[in-house]
Amino acid sequence: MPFPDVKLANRPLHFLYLCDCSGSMAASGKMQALNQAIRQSLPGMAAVARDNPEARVLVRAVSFADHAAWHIETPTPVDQLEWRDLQAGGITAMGAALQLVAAALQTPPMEVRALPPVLVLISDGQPTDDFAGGLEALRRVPWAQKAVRLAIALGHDADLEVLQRFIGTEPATAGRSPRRPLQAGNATSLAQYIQWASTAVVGAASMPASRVSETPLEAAAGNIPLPDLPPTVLDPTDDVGPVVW
Amino acid sequence: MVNRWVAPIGASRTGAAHRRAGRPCQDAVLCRELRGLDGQPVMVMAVADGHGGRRYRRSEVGSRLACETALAAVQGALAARALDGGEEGWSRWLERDLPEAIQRGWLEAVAAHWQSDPGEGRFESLLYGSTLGLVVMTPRWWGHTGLGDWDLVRVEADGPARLLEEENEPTALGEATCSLCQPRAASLFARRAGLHPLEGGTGDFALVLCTDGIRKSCATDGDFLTLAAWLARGDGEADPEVAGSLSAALDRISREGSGDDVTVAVGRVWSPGGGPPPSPPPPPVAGVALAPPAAPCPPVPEAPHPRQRRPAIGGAVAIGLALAGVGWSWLALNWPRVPPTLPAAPGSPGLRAARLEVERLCGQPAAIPLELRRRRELFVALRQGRQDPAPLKAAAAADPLAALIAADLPAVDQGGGKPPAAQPAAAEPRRPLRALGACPALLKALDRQWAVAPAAPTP
Repeated sequence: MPFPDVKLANRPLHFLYLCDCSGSMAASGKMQALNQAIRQSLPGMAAVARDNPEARVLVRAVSFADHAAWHIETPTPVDQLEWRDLQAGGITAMGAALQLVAAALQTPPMEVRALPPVLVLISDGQPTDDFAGGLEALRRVPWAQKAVRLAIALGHDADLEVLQRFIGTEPATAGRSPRRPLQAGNATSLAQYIQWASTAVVGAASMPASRVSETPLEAAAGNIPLPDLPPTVLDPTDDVGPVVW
Repeated sequence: MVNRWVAPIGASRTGAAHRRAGRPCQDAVLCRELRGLDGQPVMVMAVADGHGGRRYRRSEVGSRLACETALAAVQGALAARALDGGEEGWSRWLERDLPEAIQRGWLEAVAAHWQSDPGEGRFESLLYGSTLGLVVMTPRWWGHTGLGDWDLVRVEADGPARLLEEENEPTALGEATCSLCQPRAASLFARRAGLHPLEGGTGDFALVLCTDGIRKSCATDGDFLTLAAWLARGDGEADPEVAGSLSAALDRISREGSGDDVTVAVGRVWSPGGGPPPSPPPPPVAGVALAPPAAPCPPVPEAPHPRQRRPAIGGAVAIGLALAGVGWSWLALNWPRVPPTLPAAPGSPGLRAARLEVERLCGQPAAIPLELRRRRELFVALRQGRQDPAPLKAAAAADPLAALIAADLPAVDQGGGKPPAAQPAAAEPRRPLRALGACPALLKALDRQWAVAPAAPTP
């Protein structure tokens, strides 16, 4: 008897960028660097997706300035993604961006059998709206609780405390330092972080191992064990160029 | 009492993603025929899923030991107690005594393994973390117990398949699951335990026990039940047309699906003197009711084919047209107020989507309770007034099931906010979903969800 007529399917992996597009991003080429870093990371991300056919990597992006809006609203397979440049201008409605993402992570439209999503927040400043409200809305969504949340701070003006609250506080676990926002001081380090998030992290999230529920250690370790960070964090003396932001 | 069970069979395959990463199969399966005190045959099948990952780096051993320990614990009980000793006692055994014996035995086994083959660092049972699903089949009854994200499906000889067991732990978020390495693991078995008497009149059926890799490989739960029914045939090894073998089929499931390890065990019961063991026909889920894991519901009347309800659908289509004319979504209206005499015509996109959704659901009624259960948050939010039904109805084209649920909300409030399950049938004729040809299985499943969705706390 032949194999039955059933639909077997890989599991969707949603990758969401939350990009600060406030006016300050126009300074010192930060916005240009961000656009370039994301665009250049796409081939690597597509390669990781090809190497992990059990996951269907779908990319979306939110931009926030005076308001938050979808830059890429439709979950788009990474190999079909064409990155349109973000433009800087306005203030920093980060809370509204979190609200937008919280709504998108509701089930539905999120698929029940999806893999834990990856959220990457990139900012060079401080939120100017109700960040706490946005974060609370996000935290209430089960898929956000399961998500891998990363934050990249651009320059020394970025609000690290806010970014830390986004990724969550996490105690040091055996052999690993607590997770912190990644700090990019120039275009090279930003590109490295974006590359890491879109390849190594996507690779890890594509093939998650199951884990024990309810153990404090597991809860602290996050939903997906993160791969090693780029060398700039492991060794800050690595030469990634001068700090310009 | 005559034994009607066929010796169970099982197979376990390394997942496609694990092969690529050079990781071993962390699933395990064990099927065995044991004997009770009086010599009666007792079939046992167990599946286990080691967690994998760095923290559980010996979980492929942990899963194997979980199956072996479970089998030994069952054997120990059978040697000490007659099968005729009363079903209540065996039921308690599945919930409490057996789990304690299994966890105790498993902890001893993994500790002994560590002693014989110590690794780096210090021993902790976490390294061996694994789930366990277990089915015991005796001539008088059959029962299941375990913990973790395994699934158990019952497939009747004449086709119907229904999910009997799945993990419903609130803490099991994402890839998290319950595990034998948890301190109070034995206490978690009771929620997954059940004993089912095997009456003389019980028809032939099969039990399909599988690890989560199979269900996660299926696009929908309907696909999963169809696949389980096919696996229940258990003749994959013998039939050259079945993609070579059962193993090849499991490989295909993993390769085209989740990439996870995949494991299945099948036990079958057939009537004596009735020829060969039953081979349930394939795609069997249509027209079947799905029992809830804990409390089986009364049989649901057979669902009429949606096409038989054309007049009602036509009315709904007309409503959709009328609504489209005012630029508003079909479900946003209180249907019963619309005259049923409007001419039938193509509906709005929302209406079309909702109709298709009703047809889809009613075409596979066995999957309805599962699909609705996964929207439990939505039922609760609607019931408690935290979710406005209007936008859900308006977005029917994007999410027709949510729109159907939202449209059914008024049914809850007929009769003072009591769930419709508590209402007499006469209170339901104005239920909007009837106009779309919702089958009894869909209406009943909706009733069940409304009944368990807590109303808003009184201020």
